[in-house]
This record gives sequence, structure tokens and C-alpha cells, in this order.
Amino acid sequence: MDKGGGSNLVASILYDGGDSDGVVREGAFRARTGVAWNSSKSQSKSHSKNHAKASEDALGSSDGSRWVAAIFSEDVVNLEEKIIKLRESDSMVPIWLVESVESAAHDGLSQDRLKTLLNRGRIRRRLPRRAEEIEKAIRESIQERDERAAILRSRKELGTRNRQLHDLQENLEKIVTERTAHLSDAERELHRRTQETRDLVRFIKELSQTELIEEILQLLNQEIRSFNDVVRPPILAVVSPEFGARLHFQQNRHTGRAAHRALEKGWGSKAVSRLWSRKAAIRFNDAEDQAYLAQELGRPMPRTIAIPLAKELRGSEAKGPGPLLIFEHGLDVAKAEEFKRFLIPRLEPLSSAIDRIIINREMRAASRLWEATFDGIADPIAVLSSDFRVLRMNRAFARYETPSGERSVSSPRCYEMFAGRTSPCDGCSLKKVFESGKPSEWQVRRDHDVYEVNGYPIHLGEPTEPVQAEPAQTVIHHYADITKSLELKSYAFQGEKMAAIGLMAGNIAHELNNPLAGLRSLAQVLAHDSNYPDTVRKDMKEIELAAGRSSAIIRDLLEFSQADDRVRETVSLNVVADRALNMVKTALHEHRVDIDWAEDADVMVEVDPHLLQHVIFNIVNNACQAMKETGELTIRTRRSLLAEDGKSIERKIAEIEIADTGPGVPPQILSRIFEPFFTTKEAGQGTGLGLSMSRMVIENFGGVIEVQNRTEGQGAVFTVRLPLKAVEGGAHAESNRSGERTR
Amino acid sequence: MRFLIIDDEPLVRRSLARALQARGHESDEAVDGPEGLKRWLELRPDAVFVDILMPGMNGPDVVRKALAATTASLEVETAHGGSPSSSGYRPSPYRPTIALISAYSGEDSERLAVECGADCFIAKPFEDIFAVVDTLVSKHQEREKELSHG
Repeated sequence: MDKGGGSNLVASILYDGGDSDGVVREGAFRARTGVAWNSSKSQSKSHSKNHAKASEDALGSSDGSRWVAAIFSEDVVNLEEKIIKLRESDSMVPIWLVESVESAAHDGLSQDRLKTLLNRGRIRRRLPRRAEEIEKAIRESIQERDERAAILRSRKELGTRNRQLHDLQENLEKIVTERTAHLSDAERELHRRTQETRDLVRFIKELSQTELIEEILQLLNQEIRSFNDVVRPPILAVVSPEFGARLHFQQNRHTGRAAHRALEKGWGSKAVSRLWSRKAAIRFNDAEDQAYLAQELGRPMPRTIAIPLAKELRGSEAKGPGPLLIFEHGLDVAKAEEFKRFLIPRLEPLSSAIDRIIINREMRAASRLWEATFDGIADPIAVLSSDFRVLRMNRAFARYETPSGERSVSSPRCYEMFAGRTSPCDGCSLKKVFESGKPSEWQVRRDHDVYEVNGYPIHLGEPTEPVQAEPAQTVIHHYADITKSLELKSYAFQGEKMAAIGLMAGNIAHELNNPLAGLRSLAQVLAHDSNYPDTVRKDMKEIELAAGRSSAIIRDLLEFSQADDRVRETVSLNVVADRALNMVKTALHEHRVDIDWAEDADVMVEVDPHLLQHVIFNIVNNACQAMKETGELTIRTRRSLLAEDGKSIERKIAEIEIADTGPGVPPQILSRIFEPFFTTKEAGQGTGLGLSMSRMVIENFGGVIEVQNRTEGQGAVFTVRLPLKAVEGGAHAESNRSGERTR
Repeated sequence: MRFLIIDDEPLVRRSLARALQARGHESDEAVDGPEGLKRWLELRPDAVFVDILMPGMNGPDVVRKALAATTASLEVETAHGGSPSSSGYRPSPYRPTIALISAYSGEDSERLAVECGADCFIAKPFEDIFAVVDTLVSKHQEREKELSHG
């Protein structure tokens, strides 16, 4: 806005022309102010319209003009009309009313009226007539107007911009709305698909946890619940080699039964095989299906959907007919399509789950059979790894399991369990079996029992692999308790041996006794012959004694070898022992003998008294020899109870204990002392047959003979235990009764 | 006294002979059953030791046959010498004192001795050979006494 120069200051002054005065005034005014005027001169009152026109022209001047209007009051005719006109044409233009001094009234307008008019027209009144003041006012006014115009312009511009902005915003919002709508559609679709996938995944997951066909049916029924009003719970026909054909369904509380018709007709029958093994396609209201199911279930099945979960779904390995899934439904065609669409992705997992259950069931049955067989074997069996760890064991082997806590590791070693050892059993050939891959057998001891162990290598590789291609991964140990048979064998052997010895002894005895008899007798005779010198007679005596000892040995041999032929009697143990002691009187006189007889005089035993006497004699004699110098011999007889091995039944027994104060039996030979031909005596002093024969004799009587060293002090303790013979009456009636009870 | 020793074991024969000799008795020996029987009948000893097990013939058989033979000869003699009851003469029958000896001791041998007619059984080897000789001698004397007084 140019405020500096007045050259472009244009003012429009309205005045009522008609006389020259106006022009003069204008001229004078212009002269004084230097302001350019657009003036219009109304020539007459009748040309007021023109005047107005002129004013309008003046107002609508060319660009760059700055407008101001002044109305000279004294000239104003129809002032009201003019003001309205002027204001209508430009609502903003400053308008002054230049009043002449003298004018007091206008056309009869009252001061009030004028005031109202000026207010309404927003007219600045009372501009003094002086030119410089007018100019000043105009300039101010113009300036003010410029400012206002500038404000107006910027407002207008702002308005435009606002509008543009608004349009833009609206556009944007529209786009956003559209896009959002699109996006949420996609999202909804995505969500739907995700949900579908999730449902499917959940279904598969739940299927994988099922263990029974019934659970699958339940799950499937739950799965199709959105169709429940038109689809009945599923029926599943399953056939497996192990369990035959079964219909599974959940109506009327039936959870599954054999498919009778199918079984009746047999799997080879055409109808059944066609029904089950036709191509996997969903059969909708199939007449054959309906006919079969009506037969099977005993009621009409007019509307069915049958889905063979057949080979195509089950992989090429599966043999025979697959499961058949059947729905009874009330679906229309459109809804049926929906149902099919819903089902199809579920068929494969369903089929696999059913297969899994059938296979599991058959495997469990096979496994149960195997385990029952394994456990049913009474001999202990263990499957072992090469480091002796027990991988599996049967029930008989599990008996050896140590109570929990004693075992350090979860898979114990066989020798830890079986024999309570910390190293492999003596004689174990497990390593050899692993190395050679060939079965082997050996014997191991468990406490006092002897077991024959058969080790069989087993290969756990694929059946197609050649068996010998790889070393065995595991070995089966089969333990057979051969203690009894060994004992029998040993007894038999012992018996045979002794019979042979007896026979031989009988023959030898005669052959030997004859010359011995002569030798001894001749020596005797010569020893008495005074014709010979004393030295020779002394030697003869020695010869005689040696021959005498030889005879004694032969006599012993004969007696023991004839043990079986002897007649047994019921005798008192005390009596027999006393007789034996009498026999060794001479040997005993050096020792102190402490005898503690059982109080019952009738500790009766059924034996050959002569043999028993000999055994006791033998033991006492040994004891005397062992003690060498003076010692103490304690002999005690008593009645006692003996718990039989592994049984709760106690046997009544008679017991004789012979304890000496000799050096005792070296521990390393304690177990061998009763073996035949085992002797600690110097050569020539004993044959070693005494104790072994004693044992044989005692065992022959149903008894046992044992030796222990004294726990306190020195010495050996021999104990002979014999079955107590019940005699009529007295205390033994009781044992008789108990004998009957246990029989 | 005159003894016959029938035993296949030379040492037994020798020792018995020496013991008998030491006691002042005579003895003859036979090495087996048949020879024993032959000499028994020839020599008619006062007492006989017979082993049970011998080659050729066993002891009990020797005893049985010898006893049978001597009893038969006694009957023949009696028939020729008239009736013993009428004459009142009763010739003393020949019957030596017999001991069966054997290395097989036991009831069987005792029984065998009784069955064949021997007077006793003595198990070999002898505990004391002089006791054996003395036993038989005293047994013989007892029998003689019985017969003469009977």
C-alpha cells in the first residue's frame, strides 16, 4: 500500500451538483490537497440517478485506485438513498459526510434521523471543510482502508487456503476410510484363514493325543458341532488283522462292537471288499452304503456320507481295507458341500490317527504277548549291554533287584543284581559272546547256588541287514539253577565212586588181607621166636604193627563201602556216642573230656549204629590227634530245631557237637575238609577217606556234618545233625503230629 | 596135635605152621581146595584151617565133601564090624575140629561156617596168631572131652 505519494490518492466525493459552487469547491479542494479526485457531478436533482451512476463509476475505478467517498452534506439530496446505494456498492469504502458549516438540516431530516442514517451507513461524519483536514482524514482513512483491505485480502487468502486444506483433508479421509475398509476385509479374511488353520492344527494336535478310536470319534463329533443339527455323530468302521472288523460309534452308549455282517461274510467276500476298498471318494447317499449300514445297525439309514480313509490317504505301505468314516445326515446339497469342504482337510490327519491307534494296539498286543512270555519263564533272564548293564529283565531276574537306594545307578550291572558282586562273576563269558557273536555257556555262583548261564548274542539291526555284519549289541543271559542237579550229579558221582571203591575194596581187601594176614601172623610168630636176636624180633614187631594198620584201613574201606547194605535201627544218640568214646579210651586218656549229654535219654536217631559210632570215633580220634598234647574235648548232644533252607518249616533234629582245643581248621581248607582224599595228615598217617566217608554216611542218614572253628579261643567244632526219630509216646508224640500236619 | 592148613596164601600157611610149631604141634599144608580135600582124607588131621576163597574149590565145599566122605567111611566100617548096639562097641567117629578162615569177615562168613559144618570162623588177618592157634586147640580138646565122656 502506497502511503507516501498523494498522486495515486483518489477520492470520490459525492456531492450534489447543480451549481458551480460544487465544481469550484472541488477544484479548490483538489488544489489544496493535491489529491486526485474522481468526481461526478450531479447536474440536477432530476439527474440524481446519473449522479449516482457517476458515483458508482467513481467507485469502480481502475485497478490501483484507492477509494474514499465524501458526501457534501449541503449538496446531498436524497441522502438516505445515496448512502444506501453507496454502501451497497462497496460495503467497505470509507465515506465521509463533509458538512458545510451552515448546513443545519437536510431535506428535513432530523438530527436523530441523520444520526441513525450515518450509523447504518457507517459514515464518518462531520468532516471539516478545510482541505488540509480533509486530506489528512482521507489519508488516514485510506491508510486504514489499506490496512483493512490487506487484512481482508489475507483473510480471503487464508480462507482459500483453508478451503483447499479442508478439501485435501476430506480427500485424505476418504482415501483412509477406503483403505481401512479394504484392510479390515483382508484382515478379516486373514483372521478367518488363521482361525481355520488354527482349528485344523488344534484338531491334529488333539488327534495326536488320542489313544482310543472312541476318543477320535468324540473329538470328531466335537469338531463337527456346527453341523450337529444336521449331522449325527460319526460311525467308524475299522478293520485290523489283529482285531478283525469293528464298527465304532457312540449312539445309545455303544462304543464299539464287531461289525457282525462284515465278519459273517468274511473279509474275502465281494460285498465287504467292495464296500471298504473302493476308491477313496466321498460317497453321498450311496445305496450300497445305506443297505450295508441298515443291515449292520438294524435300522434304515437313508441318508449317508461315507468316506473311505483308504489307501490313497494311508500311504502305499498300508495293506487291506482302510477305515471307513460314515455320517448319517440331513444335509441339503449346498450344506453338504460345505460339510465336505470342512471335512476334507481333516481326513488325512484322521486317517493317520486311526492308523496310529490300530498299529499301537497291535504293537501293544504283540508286546504284551512277548512280555508275558518273557516274564512267564521261571528262569532268570536278562538282556545285557556289553558293559554288563541290565537293559531288560524278566520277572524272575527282577527278584534279585536290590532295594532302592542301595543301587547307585539306574541301570545296574548284572553281577551287582544277580550275585551282589562289584565285579563280573568268576567264569563269566559275556565279553567272549560279544566278541565272537556266538552263543556260549558257563557257570557262575550265587551264594551257594550254581547257575548255568547261556549267553546268546542278539542283533537289533534291521531285519534286512545280514546278521553277522555287525557285532551283537546285546546279549541275553539265561540263568538255570543247576545247584540241585549238580548236587544230584555229585551225589550220584559220589555214590558211583563209593560203589566202585566198595567193589574194588572188597576185591582188594581179600587179595590184600591174605598176604597181610600171613605177613602179620608170621611177624608175630617170628617176634615170639626166641631163636632170633632181639633186634630182629623188634623189627618183626614193627612189621606186625604196620600190617595191623593196613588191615584196619582195609576194614574201614570195606565197612564204609557196604554202608547202603546196612540195616538201620532206632537208637539213642547218647548210647552210640558213648560206645564210640569207649573205643578211643586209650587215645583220650591224655585229654580232659567234658561231656554234656542231652537230658532226654531218648535223643533217638535212625541209623546204622555201627557206622555212626565209627563216624563219631573218627571225629574224636581226629580231634585227639589235632590236640597232640593235652587239651579239652567237649562233647554235647541235644535236641534242636533246624529251619530248612528257604522254608519256614522247622525240622526237629538230634545234634552232637564235638569241640576240641586244637589248632582248629585253617579257613582256606574249611570247605574242602570233607572232600575225598583230602588230608592234612602227614603221608602214611591217614588216607583222607575218613571225613569224606563220614559225610557220606551222615548224609546217607539224612543228616549233615559241619565243621567250624571256635569263635572264641582255638579249636575246631564238628557238628553232626541227624533227623530226630520220633518214638511212640512221650515227648515225641508231638513231633509225630507236627510231621503229619506238614505232610 | 596134627593140623592141616588149607590156604592158597603161602604166608598164611607158613605163619600158621610156625605158630603151631612154636606151640609144639605138627602141621601139613595144602595150597588149594582139591589138594586140601585129598590130604584131609589121607592124613586125617586133628584140626583143619580152611580158607574160604581158594582156587579149584572153596573152603565150605572142601569141608562139606571131607565130612561127607569120612561119615560114609564110618558107616561102611560099622557095617563090617558088626552091630555096634549088640557088641556095645562104639568106635569113635573121625571128625576133626574145623576153622574156616577168610579175609571176608561178617555175617555171611559166619553163616557159611555154620552151614558147612565148621566149628568156627576166624577172620583174617589174625589179631594174634597164637590166640588163634590156642583157641582151636582148646576147642579140639573140649570136643575130645565131650566125646570120651559122652
